[in-house]
Order: sequence, then structure tokens, then C-alpha cells
Amino acid sequence: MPQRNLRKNDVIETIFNRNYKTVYRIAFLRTTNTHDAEDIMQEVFLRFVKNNPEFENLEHEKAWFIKTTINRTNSFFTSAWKRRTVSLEDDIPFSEQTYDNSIIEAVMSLPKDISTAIHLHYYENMPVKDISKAMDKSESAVKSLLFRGRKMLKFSLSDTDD
Amino acid sequence: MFNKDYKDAMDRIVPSDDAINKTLDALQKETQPKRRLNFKNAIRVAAVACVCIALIATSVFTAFHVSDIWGEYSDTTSKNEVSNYIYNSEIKNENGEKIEITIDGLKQASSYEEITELLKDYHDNTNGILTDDLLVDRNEVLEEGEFKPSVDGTLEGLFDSPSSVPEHSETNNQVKDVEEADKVKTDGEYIYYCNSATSDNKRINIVKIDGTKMREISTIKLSQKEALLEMVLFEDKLLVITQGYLKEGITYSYYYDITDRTNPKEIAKLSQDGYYVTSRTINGIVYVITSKYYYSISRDDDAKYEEMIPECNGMLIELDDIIITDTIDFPSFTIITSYDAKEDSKQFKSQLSFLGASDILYATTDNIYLTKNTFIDGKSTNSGLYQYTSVFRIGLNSEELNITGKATVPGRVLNQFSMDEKDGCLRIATNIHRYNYSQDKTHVGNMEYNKVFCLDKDMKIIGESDMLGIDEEIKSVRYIGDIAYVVTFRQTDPLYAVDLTDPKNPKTLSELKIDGFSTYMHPYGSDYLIGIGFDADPKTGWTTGIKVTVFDVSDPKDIFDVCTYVLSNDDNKGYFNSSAIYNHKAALIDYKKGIIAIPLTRETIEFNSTLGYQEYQAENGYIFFDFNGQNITEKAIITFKNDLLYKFSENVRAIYIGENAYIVSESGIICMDLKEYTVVSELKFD
Repeated sequence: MPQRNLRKNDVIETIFNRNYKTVYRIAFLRTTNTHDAEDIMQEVFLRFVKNNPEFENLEHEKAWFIKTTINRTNSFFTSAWKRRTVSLEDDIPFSEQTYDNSIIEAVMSLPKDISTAIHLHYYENMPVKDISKAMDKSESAVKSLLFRGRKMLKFSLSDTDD
Repeated sequence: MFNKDYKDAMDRIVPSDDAINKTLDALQKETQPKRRLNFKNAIRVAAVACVCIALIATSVFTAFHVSDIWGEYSDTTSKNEVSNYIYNSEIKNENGEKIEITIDGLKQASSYEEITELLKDYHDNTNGILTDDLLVDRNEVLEEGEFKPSVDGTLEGLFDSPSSVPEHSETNNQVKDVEEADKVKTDGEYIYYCNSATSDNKRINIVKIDGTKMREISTIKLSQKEALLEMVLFEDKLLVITQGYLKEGITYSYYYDITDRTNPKEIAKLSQDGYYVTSRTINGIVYVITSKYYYSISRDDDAKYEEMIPECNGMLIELDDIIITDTIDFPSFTIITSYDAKEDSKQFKSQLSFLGASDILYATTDNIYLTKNTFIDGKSTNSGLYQYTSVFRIGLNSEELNITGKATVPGRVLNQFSMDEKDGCLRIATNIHRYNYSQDKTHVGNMEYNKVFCLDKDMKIIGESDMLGIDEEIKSVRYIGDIAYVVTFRQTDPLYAVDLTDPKNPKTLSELKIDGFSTYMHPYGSDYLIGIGFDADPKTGWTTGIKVTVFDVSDPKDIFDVCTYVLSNDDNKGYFNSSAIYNHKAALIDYKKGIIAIPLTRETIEFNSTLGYQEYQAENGYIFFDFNGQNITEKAIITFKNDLLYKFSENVRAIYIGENAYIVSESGIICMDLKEYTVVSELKFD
């Protein structure tokens, strides 16, 4: 395996600043709570430093982080990777943020895959093709997720005008 | 506007400064040179390795060098020493002693309070997931969902009944005589189809088939408040499964007497809590399996907790039929009901519920096997394994549903095809992640591989295969007799043949590597195996199209790929997909008839300048293949012109009756001649 140069700290920080919000938001949607999302954010960036992937461009970089976050949250309930990470919740006073916003709540209450598809489509403005790659699903499956998501949102947000 | 509101709201969601700083600190630590730390570990590990008998080390190490499983530990010396610490058996420890992992004891619930207390404990331990105001009021939803299905009979006695029912296809069931529910069913004279083309017109189309003549003779209208899922046909009974939109899920089963096909009569409407998982029909008994998930709510709200006890037909399930464990690892219930379709009953025959979500089910005519993820702290057992699969066996030979056995198998199960029963003994293929720890319990690396386990009649693991596909995960499994065919994938597609004739000592017979991977395998005659899946770029592992591969398995010691058909994605030609890749019921394969057909979806993306955004267009249909022993070629592609929306690609099915194939979609049925492979007639649904 060819040895790649490790990235310097300042490069890592730039990449961190460029992507941490994206990572955190997806993690938050999928875990539905802040401290798990923060744990996942840490795990994703640790993975980035360890694997030291090479990015062709910014798009590719973002796609890598989105995909890794989805994969990490997938294994969140099904694997015990969590035990290996320094848990943030021990140190941070537990403060569940309150989201008075019904939209976030509505999206968060959707099944994980649907909320992720909705988020990637409407927030990250990703085309279906990219979402399908990030979520390891077929394009028609993603479209169906979006379709169902829109339906369910319509149902739960029926007071609003959308 | 949802779009903007959601953006604004989401913009405010950011991690706390503390978390950001912690992460940055962790990243900084990670990038520091850590040779010293490694060195320390290596010494410790080496010391342990000297003490331990490292008999198997050589075999393990040769297996390991195929891929870099160590991630950061690319230093070869430390890798050597660490690998000494690993043993390659899940069922025996280093000293050859049997490892027995047992899960919490199962017991009958003694009171409903006991169940709510368990859920409350779970709530206390997890801080809750969702708040109670997100829960939908059960009564409200039930009332809203009240809907009387109506039947439209349109024509009577239009055709003379044929003297004998022509040969016809069955749903692509995994196990003979164990009927799986599907979107389309046929009995050789009629086609029944679950049609939810528009949300306000969900219905069952009943179509009379007489050769190339097709006439829709009746429809059963269903509530638009429920999602129309699948159906089961048993003689003159039709079962339709729908799901209501209650927060924790509620599944309805409608039973119809269709003795008079033009005038189906509702016999019973039954409900059970939970999201629909799957169903099986065995000897006229219909089993419907659902999973009810819970959302933690305020501990003091007793009324809400009571609602969490599973119900069937609006009645709490009797305590005798609720099996609980001492602790909860995931707050959910699996609910199984049985209904005797041979009688005109208005009630379930029996019901059973147990703690824990289960979504993979394998059934034979004697037993139902349900699996559930189980976590055991691998650090404490020093095995490095965390994820196990609990398998519950439910015996079907008594009046009541009972758990007759349970087992805990290392790893994770992919789907129903991962399991197989022979002479009452279960074989199961799993994907295993192992975290490795040095003696001082520090984490030194992790690896992934797959194994096939053999169990005996008492569900004790008695044998295990070699590690298959190191650093890869299982994509499909198929058992034919005593041979398990396992496809694993990372970048290329190895197909393993594992001989399970001696369950105590499974042997890997052969291994074949090709690009891409199969997600479903179907035996074709006794010599061939058809793999349906994705074609992938061997460098990146990204999928590039769909593919059908024929494997020659006449000699399991020497399997090889005979031929492959690939439809590559292309910006001009479009993107191809097939629902057979993730749903075996969509594949129509019949060796005697020489039919190999899978659904085909072609998607094109074009920029629509008038609308100002990219427009997706999809074409759905079926592709029929011809396999002559050497080559697989495309014989016909039948697509629906001006089909409805893309979402229906999952609902297209092909069946055959006599000499014709019928491709059924939500817009209509196309009849194709199986000799000429030409479209002969078409029926449009209203």
C-alpha cells in the first residue's frame, strides 16, 4: 500500500471547519439527540484522520463526510463502536436543546432513511443520484423515500401551508 | 414553504462549542506521532503471545495478509505480534474450550405492570428518545381510520371456466409450501393485484385471464388512510395486509371470501399493533408478523405506558402469550398472529408477543425462525465480539404458538436467505465484526469477516465454517442441499461454496472472484445458479450498473461463471435498476419453462429548461433473458409506455399462466407470448 503523507494539523482544521456542521446535522437527525450526534461527529473526524482519504475536489470531500456519517449512524444502534470513543457526555453537562420548531421535530420523527433523504435533498441540495450513492440505495429507492417523506410531512405538518 | 422553513430551522442546529473543542483535541492527539504507544502495546502483546499457545496463529496470519485489516497499524512488526493474539474460532476459545453465549432467560410476563416497569427502566437508562407530544393519540387514529372497504363487481359469467387450470407461476417463495405474501397473486384463472396507484384509490384488481383475453371483473376498494402492502391467496380466501399510520404502527388484515370472484365478501378485519414485517402461509394458516417500537415518554405518564402493551383487535394480548426478558436492550415488541384461512373465523387462531424487535424471518413448514440483534460486551468476555444474533424458533406443530428454542449466534444476519433448515437443524450465515484488544484491554484494531454456523436440533452451535471474505460483508446466501453459496463484497465478488454435509466440520470447497456482486441467487436446474446484482468498479467498489451472472455449480468444488449480462449506467442510455436486486419476489425464474426475467427500471435525468430543474423520467418493465447453456442474451424488454410515476417501479411483477407471460403494473397488464416474445394484448386499469 502506498504511504500517503499525513495531513498537517492546520489542513485538518480547515477541513473540519468546512464539514463539521454538515456532519453534525445529519448525525443529529439520525440519532435524534445532541450528545450522540456529537459523539458521532467526533468519530467521523477521527476516522477521517485515521483513513486519511484523498479527495479529488470539495464535492468529493463533502460526499465522503456525508457517507461516512450515515454509515457511522447506521452502526450506532447496531454496533458497539461507541464504547471505543471517549464519550463526550461524561464531560459535557447534559443540556438537551429545545427545538420549538415543529419542522425539525416533524422531520426527525420520520423513519431514519426518510429523514436523511429529505435532509440531503432539501438542505444539502443534493440530486437524487448523489443521495443514492451516499445512502447506498438505488435511485428509485431514494425517490420513493423522498416521495414517502413528503407525504408523511404533509400529513404531520398539515397546519402549515406546504 | 417547507423548503425555506426547514433550512432556517436547520441552520440553527450546530454542535456545542465544547463538543467542537473536544473533537479538535481528539484530532490533534490522533495526528501526533504515536510510535511509543504502539511499541508499548506491542511488548505487552508479545508477552501474552509467548504465554499463549499460538498454534493457529500461522493459519490466521496467512489469511490476514490478503487485506490491510489494521488500518492505522501498518507497521508490519506490530501487526505480526497482534495477530498472534487472535484466534479464529467463535465457538471455541484459545484453549479449545467451548464458548457458550446465552442471552437473558425468557419468561412469561406475570403482569402488565411488569412490562410497563421494564419500559420505564429502559426510559430511565436512556434519557428518552422522543417526547410524548409526538405520539399520536391511538383512539383518534383508529376512529379516523374507520373505513368500510367496498367491492365493485362489474361483470358476471363472461367467460366459461376452463376445464383445467393452466400451469402458472407461483410467488418466488424461498421454501417450498411456505407461501410468502406479495403484490400480485395468481391461481391460473385470475390475477389479483395490490394497486395503490393513487393514494385516494387503493384497491385490489381482480382480473379474469383467458389466454390473451383479460377482463377486470371486480375491484376491492381499500381505505386511503392505510398503506396497502401485500396479499396472500389461499384457495377461495384472499388476505389483504394494510398498515395504518399510527405512530407505533398498526397492521390490519382483511380477509375476503372470493368464492364468487365478481363479488368478494369481507369475512373479517383484524388488527394487530406494530409495523408490518412479513407474513407466511403454511397449510392454510396465515402468520402475520409485526414489530412495535416504542418512544420513551415521561416516566409518570402511566396511561401512555399502558398503551405500549401490544394489542390485537383492540384487546391487550393475554399475559400467557407475552414473553419477556429481564432487561430490555431495545424497547420493542414482536407480535405474531396466526389465522386459520380454512375456516370463516373472525378471530386470530393464536397470538404471541415477545420483547425485542425482529425483522428477519425464515420459515419452514415446521418452524418459524425470528432473529433479533443482541449486544454483549465483548471487552468483558475478551472475545472482541459485540454483536450477536438471537434466533428464536417458534414451533408450528401445536395449537398455540410457542418458543421452542433459542440460540445466540455471533454476528449479524443479512436476510431470510441467510438461514436454512435441514432435518430440523438450522444453518445460518452471519457477518461478524471483531474488535481486538490486547491484554490490557486497549483496542488494537478491528476486522470483519463472515461465517456459516451449523446448529443441532437443540439449537446449540456445533460447527462453523472458515472465515469467508475477510474485510468484506455478505451480500447474498443461498443453500442448495448441503452446500451454502455465499457472496461477499468489498470491491470484487467472491462466491464461496461451503459444504455443510458434516455440520460439525463445514468445509470451504471453492472460491470464485468476479467484479460486482449478487444480492440474490436463484438455483436454475441442478447445474446452475443465477446471481442478480450490481456490476461494480473493482477499483472503487462503486456500482456501475446491474448484472445477471450464471454460475456453473454442477461441481461445488469447482464453481465458475458461465456468462454475465450487464446493463451499464450511462448518461445517455440512462441508469438501470431492478427491484429484484432487493426483493426476490420480483424475479421470475423457471427452469422448466426456460424463463429468466427480472424487472427493469431505466431512469433518465434531463434538464427541463421550462421548469428550471432537472427532471427525472423513469420507464418500468421487465427484461426477459435467454440462456442456452453458454450465453445469456436479452430476449425481450417489455416496458409500460407513459407509465405513472417512478415510485411504482417496486410494484411491477411478471407472472406466467400457460403459454403467456403477464407483466402487471399499477397502470395495467401487458400480455406477452412466451414463444415469440411479443406483446399480444394489453389491459389498462382505470
